[in-house]
Amino acid sequence: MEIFALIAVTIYCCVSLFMAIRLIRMARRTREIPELMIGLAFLTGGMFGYPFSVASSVLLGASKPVAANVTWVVAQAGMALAAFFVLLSWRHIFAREIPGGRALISGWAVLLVASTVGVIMTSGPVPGTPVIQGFGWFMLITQGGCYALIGWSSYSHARMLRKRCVLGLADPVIANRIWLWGLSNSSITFSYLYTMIATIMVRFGLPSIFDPSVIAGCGLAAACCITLAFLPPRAYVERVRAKFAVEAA
Amino acid sequence: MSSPDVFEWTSQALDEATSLERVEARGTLRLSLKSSGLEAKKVNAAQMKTLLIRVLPGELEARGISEADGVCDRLVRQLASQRIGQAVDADSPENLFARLAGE
Repeated sequence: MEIFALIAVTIYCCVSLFMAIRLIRMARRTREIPELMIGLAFLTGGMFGYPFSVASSVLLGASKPVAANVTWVVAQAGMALAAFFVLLSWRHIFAREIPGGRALISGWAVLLVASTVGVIMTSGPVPGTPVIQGFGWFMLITQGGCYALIGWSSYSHARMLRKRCVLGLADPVIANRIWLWGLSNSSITFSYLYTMIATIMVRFGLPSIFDPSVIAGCGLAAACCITLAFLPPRAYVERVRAKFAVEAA
Repeated sequence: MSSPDVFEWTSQALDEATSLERVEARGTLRLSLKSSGLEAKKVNAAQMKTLLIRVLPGELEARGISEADGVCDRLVRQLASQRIGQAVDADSPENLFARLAGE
């Protein structure tokens, strides 16, 4: 299982780095905010948050508490920043016209910063099932909420596009791409939920179900969805079109 | 960019062209838009034209409007003569996701 987790983390980090470079370069060319926000989310979450979190556990296991603590702090900051960039991308992609959007983002950003600072000040890396208290819950909810929000919005928009496809008003490949984007964010949301459920179970004296491989599996699922969405093999695109043609008929 | 004018114009034209009350005309149009994955405040003229040709005739017939095809044909011609809802939203999620994949 450790090998699986290592492979999954490596794949997720590679996909994130590739997407970050690609989207940030694209943003320099287009001067558009959404690609910049998504690119920065990949960079901070995929290159700092997730791998540094894994590194922290490894260092803790190797009895290097100081190094483990430093990498853990970097991981917390990376994950908070990634969630913030995901939230900004949601605003620019799906919620450009909602009233009070700027106030919502500002308020949520304050909660993200407060919860992350609170967690860094009051806790540290621990082996096994994460110990979540106070600010930890606050942080998991505010961060996980960003991914849940963009995941739900993506599914909702993809469902609308599928209806338009029947009338020839949308491309089924784009509808599928937005659905995959929703799926990748849902798998990250699930990893937050899983951590919360595992902690609650331990708190109530139930056996721990926490397994880092599950988190790694969520990362791997997200990486697969991102690859299929933004770097789809020709066979996959043809399959999506063929499947839609059958459904439409 | 978004074009509530298209919805407003079409619902008013539908109200005038059929025996439907204003509220019924707007409701029928809203239901047709929803079943087609479109939104009243964002629908553009090209999308409304497709809706008028392919969806609305069936909805009107279901509500007992005779010659629904003819009514919708007239609305399509009238809509084309109006200069509303011509702009395409370049920042829509679908355009963005096409761009992100390098299309």
